[in-house]
Amino acid sequence: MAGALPSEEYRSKLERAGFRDVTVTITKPYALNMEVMRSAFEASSSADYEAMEGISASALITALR
Amino acid sequence: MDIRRVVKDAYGAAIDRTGQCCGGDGDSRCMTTGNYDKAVTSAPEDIIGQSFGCGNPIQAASLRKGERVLDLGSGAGLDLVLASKAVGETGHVYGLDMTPAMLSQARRNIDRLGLRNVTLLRGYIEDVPLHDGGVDVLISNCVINLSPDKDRVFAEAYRVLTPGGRFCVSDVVLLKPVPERLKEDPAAWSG
Ligand SMILES: C[S@@+](CC[C@H](N)C(=O)[O-])C[C@H]1O[C@@H](n2cnc3c(N)ncnc32)[C@H](O)[C@@H]1O
Repeated sequence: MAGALPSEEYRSKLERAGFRDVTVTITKPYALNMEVMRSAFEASSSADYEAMEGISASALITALR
Repeated sequence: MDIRRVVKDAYGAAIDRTGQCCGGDGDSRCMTTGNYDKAVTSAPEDIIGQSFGCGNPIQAASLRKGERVLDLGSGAGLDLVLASKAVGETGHVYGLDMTPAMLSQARRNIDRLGLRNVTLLRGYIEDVPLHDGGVDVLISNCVINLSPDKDRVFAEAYRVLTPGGRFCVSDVVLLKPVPERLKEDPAAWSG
C-alpha cells in the first residue's frame, strides 16, 4: 500500500484519464495485507510494521467511461 | 526498485505458501476479512478463502447477462467466478494477471467449476492485451495501488472500456502520508 493514492488524487487521475461521474467511497478502515506484510517484514523491523497501521483504508471507486 | 518484480514475488509466494490470505477470517484488521458473505456468495469456500481483495467490486458492479467484463489483477479468480455466473453464457469475463502462480490457481479453479466464458490473460495492467472498447465493465480488487504507473493503468482502463462502460474497483487509499523510509520498502509496497 506504499503506492496507494489519497482519495482526491485517485479521483483527479481518473478524471484526467477521461472518466466522468467518479466516486470514491471508503468502505473499511483497515487495508493491510497482513499475510503478505508479515512475511515481507521478517526482514524489516517491527517499528516499520507498526508505522503502517492506520495509514490506509479500503475504498470502492466507481466511474463512467 | 523494480516494483512489479517485488509485487510478483510477494503474491506468488503468498498464494503458494498459504493458499489464502491472512490465515483465514481470524484477523479483523486484514483487508480480505468480511468482504464476501459466504452464505450468499456463489463460489466454493476454498476459492473465497483465496481472495486477496479488499472489497467486493462484483456486488457494486451490478453485472447483467451478456456483458463483457475485465478483471485487472484477477489473482486466484474469485471475482472471475462470480462475474462468470452473473454475465452468463452470452457474456464473457477476462482475467488479467502478471503472476504465474496466481494464474495457475485461477486456471485450476475455473476448470474445476467448468466455466467456459472466462479467459485468463498473462500480462500487465499497464498494457492491457485487449482491443479498444472491448469491455463493458472493468473490475479490480486491491491491485491498482500496487502499480508503479497508475496514469498508464487509468489510460488503459479508459481505452478498453466501451463508451458508457463502467469502472468499478475496490482498492486501497491512503489516509495519511507513508513515512519516507517506507516508500522504498518492498514489504510496504506489497502489503
Ligand atoms: C492483492 S492481489 C488481489 C488479487 C485478486 N484481485 C483478489 O481479489 O484476490 C494483487 C494481484 O494483482 C496482481 N498484480 C499486481 N500488480 C500487477 C500489474 N502491474 N500487472 C498485472 N497484475 C498485477 C498480482 O499478481 C496479484 O495477483
